[in-house]
Amino acid sequence: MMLSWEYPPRIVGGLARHVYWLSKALAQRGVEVTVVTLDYPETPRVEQEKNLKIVRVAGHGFTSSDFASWVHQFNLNMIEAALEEEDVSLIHVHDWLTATAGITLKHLLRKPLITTIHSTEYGRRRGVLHEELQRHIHEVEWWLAYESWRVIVCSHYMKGELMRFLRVPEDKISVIPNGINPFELKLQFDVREIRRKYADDWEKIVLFVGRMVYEKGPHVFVDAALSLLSRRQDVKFVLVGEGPMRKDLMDKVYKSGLWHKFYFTGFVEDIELYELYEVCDVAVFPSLYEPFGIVALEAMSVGKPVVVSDTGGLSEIVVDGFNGLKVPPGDVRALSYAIERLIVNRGMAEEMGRNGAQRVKELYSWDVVGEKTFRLYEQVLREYSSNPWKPKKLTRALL
Amino acid sequence: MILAVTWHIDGVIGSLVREDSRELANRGYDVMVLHPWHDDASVREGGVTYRHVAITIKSNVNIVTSVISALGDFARAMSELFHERYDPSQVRLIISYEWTGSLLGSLAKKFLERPLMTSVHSVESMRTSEKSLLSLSIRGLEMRFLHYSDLVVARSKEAYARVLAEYRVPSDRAKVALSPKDMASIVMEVLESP
Repeated sequence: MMLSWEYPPRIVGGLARHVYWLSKALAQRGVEVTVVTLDYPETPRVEQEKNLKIVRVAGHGFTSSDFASWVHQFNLNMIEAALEEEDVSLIHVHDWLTATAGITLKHLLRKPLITTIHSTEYGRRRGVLHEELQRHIHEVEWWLAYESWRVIVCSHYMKGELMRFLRVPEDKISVIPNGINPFELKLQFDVREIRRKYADDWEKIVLFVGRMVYEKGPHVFVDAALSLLSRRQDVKFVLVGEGPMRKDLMDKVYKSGLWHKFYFTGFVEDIELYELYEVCDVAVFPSLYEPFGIVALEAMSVGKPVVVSDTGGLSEIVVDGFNGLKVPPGDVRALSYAIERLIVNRGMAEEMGRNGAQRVKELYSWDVVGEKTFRLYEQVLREYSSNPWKPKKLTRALL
Repeated sequence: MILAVTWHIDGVIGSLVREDSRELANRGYDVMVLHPWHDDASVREGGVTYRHVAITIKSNVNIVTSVISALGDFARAMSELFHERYDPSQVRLIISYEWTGSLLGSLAKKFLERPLMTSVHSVESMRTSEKSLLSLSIRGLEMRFLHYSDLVVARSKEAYARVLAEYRVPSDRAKVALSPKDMASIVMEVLESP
């Protein structure tokens, strides 16, 4: 049984897609998966497709004074719905938002709890937990990791974060990368025509994709772009994504007098994003904090060379000089020269693009991720079968 | 066994829990009280077993988050009691105190499949006249768990009137108990009814 607060069509962040593809990959391997998630307008309460069942519970209809009490109240609904399900072998929770339900179900059913921690509050807040809500989330994350049989993280960087900030023992953590669904849909479109929506024919397109928040480093990208534009003019910088920093960055670019060299698209749909990946020459991900870096994989999957900051999950995805270039996080000068290197050396850039696409297929397909998760489930159930901690009283149907 | 579930073990509600439990123990019932504490120990006092439940989450956003976050701790305690020590069928009735205990007691009802009786000393409108989101949230939870209870026992005539008027609990599922003796009589009546 998986618990996740978001699942398509409710898509808030990357979690919905992760749980969607993982549950599908597991179901294809013959695992009977039930996902308990929040409801969404005009979607059925229960959906079943072969051995994948989706149960949606109300995420509304009650008053909440703050985010935490909303989260805890929908957990009440999840517990109620989950207890109706039969033959649960293990419980797999994604992030702190479903921790209360996961921990409660673990104890009532006496079944192993597995948790995927996609990021931590401590990491997101860069170690500064000013408010009671932030401390609460941090505490719940600690508890969730403590109660879990195994904890899954997407990168070795995140493993270190859990060991340092949540004091999780090393041998309790499994690193299973996030999967991506390579843009399999090879759309038939005229690349030149799409390109012309963003740049002149003589301009190279350098792409940034990410939320416009400090941790993703859009300000580093803009500074590197301005630096590069002081040396050459044949480049256009396209920034995809929304966020609180967007307006300030647009102001900065405007004041620089180089507005015509930038294109801020805001949020774009998947199709347009795919087009942008296809038409760009280099994709850049200058994050300062990045648990994984799925956008870099997306660019790699369509054969584009990438420049990433040497931090977090990005460090593990990119092998410097093989499928992209790495620069120190926040280093504007290094970033601008790395972008230029890939613009100038087209042969090298194309080879890196090919290597990247191959690496995505080999290591990050949902098939591979599903297989690794399945093996972990098997391992946990083996350990559980020889452990005395079990439901003793079989007087109730659900046990 | 009668399982009592409470968030409060001190103050007015705490006294009520202890007096009710003692009265039931005097009448020959085996009573176990589950309540939050600093450890997971059990203490026997006046014929009643007090099973402490250590609370993990110490941050205090508000009472709603504190109580719901404690569900995992109460589940741990119930799991230990009823998977390892007692047969769940030994429990005949669950008594919860206030909306907080009723929220936690609802888990016991679901787990043990036994009737839930909720004792109401006061409802939110008796404690405050404010209409803050937190207060509305508590009213919502009171509504939900009073209706989830099989029987609501008001501990004053005012509480009884409000349970009926404001929360629309049907009168055949609400009673008044002005003292621990009244409460024990209602419990006996429930347990002896077919």
